[in-house]
Amino acid sequence: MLLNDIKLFSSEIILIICSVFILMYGIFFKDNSQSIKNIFYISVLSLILSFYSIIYFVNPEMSFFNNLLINDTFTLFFKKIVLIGTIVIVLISYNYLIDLEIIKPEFFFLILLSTVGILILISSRNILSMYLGLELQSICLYILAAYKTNDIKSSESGIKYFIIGALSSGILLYGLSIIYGFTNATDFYEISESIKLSLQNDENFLILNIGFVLILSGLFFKIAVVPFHMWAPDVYEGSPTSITAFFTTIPKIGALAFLIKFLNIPFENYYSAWFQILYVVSIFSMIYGSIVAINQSNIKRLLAYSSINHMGFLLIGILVGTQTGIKSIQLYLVIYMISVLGLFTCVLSLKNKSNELYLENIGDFSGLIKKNSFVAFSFAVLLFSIAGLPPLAGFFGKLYILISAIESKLYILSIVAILTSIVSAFYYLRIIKIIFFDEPVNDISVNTSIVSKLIIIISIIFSITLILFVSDILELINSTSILTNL
Amino acid sequence: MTNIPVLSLLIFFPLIGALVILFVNKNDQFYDNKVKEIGLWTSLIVFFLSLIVLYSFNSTDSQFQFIESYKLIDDLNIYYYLGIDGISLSFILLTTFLIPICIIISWNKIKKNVSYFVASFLLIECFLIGVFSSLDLFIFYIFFEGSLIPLFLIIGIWGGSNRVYASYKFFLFTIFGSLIMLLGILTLYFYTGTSNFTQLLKFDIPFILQVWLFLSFFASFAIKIPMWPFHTWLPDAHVEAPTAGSVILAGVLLKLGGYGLIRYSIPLFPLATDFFAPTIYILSLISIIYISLVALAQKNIKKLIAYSSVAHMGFVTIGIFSRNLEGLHGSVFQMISHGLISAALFLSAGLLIDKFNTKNINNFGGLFKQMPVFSIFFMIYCLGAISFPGTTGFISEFLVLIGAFKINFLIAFIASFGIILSACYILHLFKNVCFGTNNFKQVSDLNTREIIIFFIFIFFIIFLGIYPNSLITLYELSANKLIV
Repeated sequence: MLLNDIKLFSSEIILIICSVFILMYGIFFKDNSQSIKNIFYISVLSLILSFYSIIYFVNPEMSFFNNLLINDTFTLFFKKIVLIGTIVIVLISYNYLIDLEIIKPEFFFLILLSTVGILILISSRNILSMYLGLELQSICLYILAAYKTNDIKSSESGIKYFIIGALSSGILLYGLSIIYGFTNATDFYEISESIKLSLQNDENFLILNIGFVLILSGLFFKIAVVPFHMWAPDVYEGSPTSITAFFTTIPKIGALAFLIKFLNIPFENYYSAWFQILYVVSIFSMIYGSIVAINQSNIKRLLAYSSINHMGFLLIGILVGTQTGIKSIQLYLVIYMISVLGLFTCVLSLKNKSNELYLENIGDFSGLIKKNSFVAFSFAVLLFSIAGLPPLAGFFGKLYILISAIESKLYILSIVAILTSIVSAFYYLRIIKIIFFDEPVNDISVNTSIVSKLIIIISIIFSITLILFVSDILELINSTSILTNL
Repeated sequence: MTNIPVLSLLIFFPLIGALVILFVNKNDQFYDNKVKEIGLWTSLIVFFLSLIVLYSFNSTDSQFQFIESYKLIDDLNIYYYLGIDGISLSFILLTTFLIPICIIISWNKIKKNVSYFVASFLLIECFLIGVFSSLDLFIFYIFFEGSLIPLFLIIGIWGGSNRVYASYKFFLFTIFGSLIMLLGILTLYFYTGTSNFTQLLKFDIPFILQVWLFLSFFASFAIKIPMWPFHTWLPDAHVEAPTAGSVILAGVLLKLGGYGLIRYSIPLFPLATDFFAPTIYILSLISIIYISLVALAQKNIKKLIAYSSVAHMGFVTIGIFSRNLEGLHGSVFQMISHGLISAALFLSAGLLIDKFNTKNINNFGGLFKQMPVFSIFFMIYCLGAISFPGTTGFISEFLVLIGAFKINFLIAFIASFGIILSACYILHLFKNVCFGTNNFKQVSDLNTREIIIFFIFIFFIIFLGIYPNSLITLYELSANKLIV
């Protein structure tokens, strides 16, 4: 039994062992470029191994560790995305951190450990294991946000993230304790049974409602949707850019996967309650994220607000409560992750020639087309894709979300979604305008390593050619969008 | 012939050309010339391909021809479904005819990012042919919306001084309409379970749903046509766009709206069409009369022609919604004829602006002495624009007015004032440009290349004006299907 558990947990175990090994290696060996390089290779290798073990050792539909965790096709799908995304982050971080001279073994340790946390969060089927995974992930992220220790903005973002994150975790924990008090269970399926029984007996739901709302607030903090979004822009702006890329994609994917699972398993009989909450949150996130992003001048802040908008969009897929909805979220997340990572790779390749600083101000991108048409072209394709223009990939993401909304006859929600995507098209176009139409104001130096070039090319090819294999992807997703019902 | 996927070839040949151009992309005089040659040859080959399609097209068959169908998205029942009838073929020919001309006329004018410019035009060609040949609503939408990207870049990168504002306005107006249409498409899809146009025709959609769907489609098409009061993006886009951009915008992109109404709105929502027809007559009449008056007050040559486009497209919508033989034939003819005439007018305007470096029509004058050849050509285009007998403009507006008379005397009466007003503003333009005295230094007349291009337009305008049946027989049967 134990051996089987270890086998099912192998991908996380690999990452834990490697991260501890990296920490040891960093302590006992000198801080020279060779050992950093070794650590970099080890972490990439461990992520690849972990991915490999998910494919070959882990069979779906199995609970393990006394029903603390579960691996079904749904969780495995998200685990795979998270691991791929993390590999990309580690690859693009390496050169960037070396350039800033802040590369340390701890960085890789923290990234790997937070990935473990996300993996545990995704596969949890018990509120204990869920909280464990969430906290493991969050604590690593707090440190990563403050990673650029000589930069006051980075420290600020770390502190801000920590205080607000700890507060939200506290709220979440309080909600979990209330749920435990109401249902006398920690297992998701037992909670579900208990709520079902209470619904049949027509009990008083006030206390359950309070607990439920508290838990949702905590989770909304983690995915940064209105009205729990305040931390996101500051934290994103202050953190080192490659870590911002991590923040905008991987932890959100984990938290969303968990949110889907949490709403659809323990609270599946509570649909009418969470439908209303998500409806309001989704509308406000879309409107707020798109309107506030218009006036941003920092690309990281802009992407922070646009990610609020995207999260609002994704909540539509959750709140319809159908399999189409989950499928549309999975498709959207894949497309979103690939485009955003490609975008960040482009941003990371731009530097100011005179003071060797990485460009973050959108105005500084002006006239990029004259400097390097490859990066400019990639920007255009990825931004048009994220803006949701056919025939690029982003359109299909939006199309599927709208399909799931209209299938459930949520017309007002889809009209809001469409209006906000027009507004968001405006600010994506603004970046394209600055890159293509404006005259250059300062000298940009573009240096793309082979790896980042490869990442950009893959993301562009994916964005352009998705139309040809979207059917195959949907077929793959089809079996992974079903949640296990015991 | 039927085994070869001709339409896919037509759609994707320009795309391949664009990709090749983007790959040989280097900022170098030598490569720039190569890029232009590749672009020109690609578009010419596409033009000849479309001529082959025309040759093998059977105009005595009212069904869709050259059908291609592959499943694109399995679980959604979305097909890559292509097919053309006479109406679509006319527009495909117009597109493939105008694109090589656009590339030729910007041969020496575009200096920066030549490869992107040529690639944008090839991309536009790909999307436009795709729009005209798709028979699945989703594919239609993808092509329809995709054509925004290259034109946004064309206006924004190579446009005039206020280009950013114009490109944004163009983009946001159009995407607003199209996204609302997407909602309509999705609703229709979930009501019927298919997005295939030929299957959709078999469904009886309830009246209330038809009304909503019609409005959502109309939002997109009315902005594209453009119809008063949704027209405000057009003058800005035209003024700022480079000449080739104006030509393709006036020549083909505006026709997407009319084509969409004919292809989708009328057959799919017949009850709603009847319901909304009076409203649309009123909007069209306002387009014709009010916009003609606005055009009369313009000093900017490109703006004047842009407003005249809006006024002329008012005849198209009247013709489409009259739903009788003459009206429908007339409006398709008007779209093709306007595609030729307005393209030619923008060509002339672009030439004048390049030569004299001013857009104000009061600054011109006396061109008959300086550029006699040009003035003769320009005169014939102007006569076409005021629907002078013997040009295409006469045939189309005559047919539309007959169609309108059959519906309501008053509509035709008011619309016919549009022709008089068009004579006012176009002759005002012509007088200011070609007559009077000038205070310019000596300028050269047209060179051989320009004469050839200008002559091609004249040829088609007069040929189709004298022998309209050559075009009408092409789309006659397809249009007749729409009459109830």
